[in-house]
Amino acid sequence: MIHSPSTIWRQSKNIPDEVGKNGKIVSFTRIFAAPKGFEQQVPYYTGIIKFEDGTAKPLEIIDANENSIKIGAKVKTVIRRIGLSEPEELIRYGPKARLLK
Amino acid sequence: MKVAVTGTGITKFGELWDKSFANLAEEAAGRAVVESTVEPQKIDAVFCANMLSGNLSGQNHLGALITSILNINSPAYTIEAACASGGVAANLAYQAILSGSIKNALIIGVEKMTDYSTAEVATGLMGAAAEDERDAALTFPGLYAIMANAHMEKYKTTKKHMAAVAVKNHRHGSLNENAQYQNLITIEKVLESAPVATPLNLFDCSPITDGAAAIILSAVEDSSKKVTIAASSVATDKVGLAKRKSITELLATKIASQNAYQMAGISEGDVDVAEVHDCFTIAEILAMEDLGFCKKGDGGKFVSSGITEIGAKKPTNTSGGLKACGHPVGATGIKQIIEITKQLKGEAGKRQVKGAKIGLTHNVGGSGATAAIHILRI
Amino acid sequence: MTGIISYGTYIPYLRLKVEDIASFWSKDAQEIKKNLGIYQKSVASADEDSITMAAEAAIQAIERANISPTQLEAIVVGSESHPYSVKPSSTIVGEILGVGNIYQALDTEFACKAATAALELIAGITKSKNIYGLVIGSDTAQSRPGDPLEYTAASGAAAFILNSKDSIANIYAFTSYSSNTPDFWRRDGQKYPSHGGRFTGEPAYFHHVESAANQLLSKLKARPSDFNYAVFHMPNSKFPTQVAKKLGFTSKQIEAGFIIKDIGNPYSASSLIGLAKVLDIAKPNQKIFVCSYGSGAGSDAFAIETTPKITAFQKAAQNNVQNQLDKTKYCDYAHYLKIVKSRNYHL
Repeated sequence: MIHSPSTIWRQSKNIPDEVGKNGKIVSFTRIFAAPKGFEQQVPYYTGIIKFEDGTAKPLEIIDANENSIKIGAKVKTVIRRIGLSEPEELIRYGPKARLLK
Repeated sequence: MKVAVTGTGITKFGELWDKSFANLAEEAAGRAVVESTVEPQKIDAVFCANMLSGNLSGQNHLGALITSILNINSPAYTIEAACASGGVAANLAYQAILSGSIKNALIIGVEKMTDYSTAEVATGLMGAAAEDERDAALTFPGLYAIMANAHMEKYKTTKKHMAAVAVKNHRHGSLNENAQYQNLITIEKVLESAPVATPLNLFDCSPITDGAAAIILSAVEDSSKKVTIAASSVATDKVGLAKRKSITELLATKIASQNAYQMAGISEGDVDVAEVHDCFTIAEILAMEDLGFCKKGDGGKFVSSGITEIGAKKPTNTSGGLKACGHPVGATGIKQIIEITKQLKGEAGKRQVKGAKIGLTHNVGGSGATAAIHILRI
Repeated sequence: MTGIISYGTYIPYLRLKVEDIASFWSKDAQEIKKNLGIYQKSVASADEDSITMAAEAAIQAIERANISPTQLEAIVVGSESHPYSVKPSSTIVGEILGVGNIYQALDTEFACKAATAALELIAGITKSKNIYGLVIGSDTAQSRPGDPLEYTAASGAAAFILNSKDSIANIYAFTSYSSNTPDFWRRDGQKYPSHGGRFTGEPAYFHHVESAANQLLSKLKARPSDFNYAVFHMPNSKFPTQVAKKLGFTSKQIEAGFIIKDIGNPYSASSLIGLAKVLDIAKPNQKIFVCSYGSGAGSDAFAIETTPKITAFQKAAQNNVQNQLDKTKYCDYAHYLKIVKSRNYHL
């Protein structure tokens, strides 16, 4: 999928508010069959995070493993690359939920 | 005046590489027209249900494509509500007839999926989800897996409970000559199949399927011996899971079904046979609870008890469901109505539920953002 | 004199051992460890790059500084692995940090000294315009599989916020030594760098570091023993240890900022992470001597003195350099190659 410059530009404006937030895992799954642009990450965790400010968002969960990941685990959002962009496309940056140990 | 199902037409569901979209549409529509004895020229409007044609093959404008095949000039509409496209299309047609503006409607769901790679189809299906879900690298199995994990945590539902759904639906599918999969499977086979999105394995997931299903709905004054629509109800909820009040139920299903029971003047106990939306095994467990067939949280035990088998008290997915019959997205909601129609008319052959008088179809879009419920009676 | 009011670092937690690389290429790991004093390196995840790490280091620096990101009016990101050839890393980092739009943004490139060079430039701007400036050194260093550089090419970032008011340390002298010395280079469009083998030693690293360091000592009329700590660019253990000895610094002085054994060489972040590690433990009114090196070639030598404010800063600072060095998980060579391929799949 091609993410246009204007789409990325519009979405990036939200990033400062999305990074560095504390939250908990509401539920999660480990994905083995990925959509286009995410095949190279397989297998990976993703789930729904509820933040301290009461909002909830779906986010990839990183730095997790079978033993550490569970419903209720604490996470903090960090900035990472999202998916794999084509060579001539822009790089997409966005928040992911890092499991805190 | 009542709205009756006066004609049905369905194709085989499966990997149909030698059949194009138009071939499938023509086959299903043709059969419906023949069975109904309503000539094409008497069809007042066409409602075409489809999700992925524009995305995968570049073909939109499907309403007109169907009328072209039938060689008529009636108004035509294309309806997209992800996997609930069929049920929603039927709901619109039902309302149009009830309003008195039309007498006969053709509602046809068509989907061609197997011409494309799994990754392309998976990505296309995520169009039914929210943008931030796509950015979180989620897939459809992933969304239902998230609901499954939460349900397992809260209600102690197990992977075996979920596997029981697939086993039962394959058993029913083995009795359906149009089903994509007609083989029997075991709980072990489901548990041992490759993980797709934990806790869901390959056999917890409905397949990628080609197929078409069509019905003709007509305004009738004398409804004796005819299958009529007692209720048609659609409800929606937040597109993204994260924004819902609860991720262990589908609120849209609860609202639409409660409205439908009220419209039809029945309660859930009166439903003799049901076709529910088992895009993933957990979805059928949630449906049992959300439709009120069992208490909240008991869905797993309910299915495992065998009560939803043909011959037991609450036969569900006699067609084989989405899991075994297959899930050509736009066609599923219509297929469900056809299956219930056949059950109520006593034409379900080896799958027959004895004495079925009231049936229910449950068609869901996305991870539960749209739910379409139909109650049919004879 | 310009003040440092805060700093932050980001070191990825994955490590790859020299043994894992060497055994794959049938090389003698013990020889490599003995000769070069290198043991393991930090590995960034596939979804990390110089921009994400720069942002994480800067976020830590901003948190510790107790300023609003909008107070930053100059940002420089120095790297030799900028994700774009054309499109500044500094504006992407600026947006992630939420600095607003009133700022000067610049990317610098000078092999491993891209950020220390920027330090002098930004020190100038922050002083003359009385603004807050942010300098970040960040790299996900590249190397050809099987090349000796692979043992040390690592990942990391360090960010420094400059302003004279309430500084925890002051840069009170700065000098540079530059020449056109082609010891290590990468042509535009090439995937991996090339280097001159042994030529990267005497005529390159040693000549420039010694020249800049002696220049600074002479300018200050100072001796190595006047300093409590010394940080040299660390491409391996041998070079900084030898150059320190040649210049008259002791092994004790370079110990606190010595990071090569733990994480390898994160290029533009090497001397700056070393400096951060020293600042994590330095007492007030202590002097730190820093000399970076960038191939191509040049060295920046600068002198820093801590202020009494550093003690409170250290007490409040979470997740310091030692903590990041300790938080490790080892991966194997196959996993490392998968990550590198994934981050650069189109190259």
